[in-house]
Amino acid sequence: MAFTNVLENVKTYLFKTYSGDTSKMLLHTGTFAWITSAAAQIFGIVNNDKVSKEQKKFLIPQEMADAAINILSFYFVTKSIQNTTKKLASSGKIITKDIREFCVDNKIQHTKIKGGDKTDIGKAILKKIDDIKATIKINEENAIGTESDVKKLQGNLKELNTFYDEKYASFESGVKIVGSVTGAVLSSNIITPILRNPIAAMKQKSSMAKDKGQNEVILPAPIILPAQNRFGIDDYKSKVMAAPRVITGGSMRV
Amino acid sequence: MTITVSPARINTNASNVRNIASTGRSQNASTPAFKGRVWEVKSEGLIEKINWLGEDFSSAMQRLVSGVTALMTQPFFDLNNKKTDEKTRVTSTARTLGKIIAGTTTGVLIRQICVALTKKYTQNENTEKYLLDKKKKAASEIITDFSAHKNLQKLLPEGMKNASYREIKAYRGAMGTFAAVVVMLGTNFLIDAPVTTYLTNFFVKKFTKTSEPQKQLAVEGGK
Repeated sequence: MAFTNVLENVKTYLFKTYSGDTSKMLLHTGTFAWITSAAAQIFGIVNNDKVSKEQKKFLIPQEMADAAINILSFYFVTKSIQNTTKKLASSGKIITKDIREFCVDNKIQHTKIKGGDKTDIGKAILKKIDDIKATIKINEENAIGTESDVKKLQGNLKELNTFYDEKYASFESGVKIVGSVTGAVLSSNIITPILRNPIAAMKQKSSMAKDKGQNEVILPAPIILPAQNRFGIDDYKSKVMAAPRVITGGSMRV
Repeated sequence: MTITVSPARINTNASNVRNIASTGRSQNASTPAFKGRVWEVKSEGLIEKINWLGEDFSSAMQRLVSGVTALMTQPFFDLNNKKTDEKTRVTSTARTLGKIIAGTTTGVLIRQICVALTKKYTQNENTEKYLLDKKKKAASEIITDFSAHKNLQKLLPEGMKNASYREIKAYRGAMGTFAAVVVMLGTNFLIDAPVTTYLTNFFVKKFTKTSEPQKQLAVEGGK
């Protein structure tokens, strides 16, 4: 029962969040997929016996740098390019003849007006649809207008809905997806390898230097005495060996 | 009859659009209200392609595009990474190749399968009508009463059984891709990682074999 409820909530959430915007879905699922993929790849290197310890010192930081840069750049670069291309379409900077003519015929703002509101063709069409729906409702409730007026309004509503679904939404979504794909390719295949390699190389070098430091036995520097203080083998023979022997309890000479 | 539809400020002047697509320069540069350039897409073919992207581009296709372009760029960056020694460079390139091939293959296949499965369980009258309009189904095969085929609507949310074709299509992509990502939580470890390792070792062997005779030739030539 609990699982059914969770599944129903997931379905409703996915429908409400993504049914109107494929590019948003591509961005979110892409980011999530990179996170899980990176975890698996790091796991793979750690468990690859054929890769030497030294190479792992490069490959593991390479993979970690790759994951961090890839996830961040994929999300932010893709999102910003997506937003830019979406804006180009919604503000009418990229437009088709059909959309421009429809906007002109239906008095929908499709270019920037000095001192006016921001242009958003999609929002303007949807607002107009809502306005007509509200008008129909008010007219019905107050019995305003003739039958032909109602039919005219319903015709307008149908026309706007059809235009939005079949012409405008797919065009805007298509332009946005161009941005999404460009962002994904640019971030994952150009920005990530350019940034990750120097970071991984730096990590490898510092890791190897650390290892080298741990394995080496550091000998103290030789102490060089001044000539008059030096004590050679001849001095030892003449001074120490010639000295009188003191016999102690043991056999050791002192 | 009162119509309350009255957008506050509307620019109805079609000539405000400076058509740089057809002329390459502004046709109406004197329009004071509009400063930026406008690209009016004229080509019907291009409009169709953009609309196709908006309607039919799936996450599996995005993964494929991403994988193919990755194969064209990433090994190049690894092979020319002068900040590490040659042996590591070869291993790194081999690993990148293995990772791209394994990741793209499983990523595309699993997404495609999951979206196809979702499609099967997210049908309604509107999706049937679309299939009929596009002549992908004959009129005799069309399901009109879904109360007898509740299974075919299993993955549609409760309140959305009558959603439009467009909404259902986008939902199929989202639901299928999320399911694919969940499946890939397992396959990344069970398939991707070992296949990447296998391919890495394969490519390292291949690169070392091909580079050794070349080195030998270089040494002999040097003598």
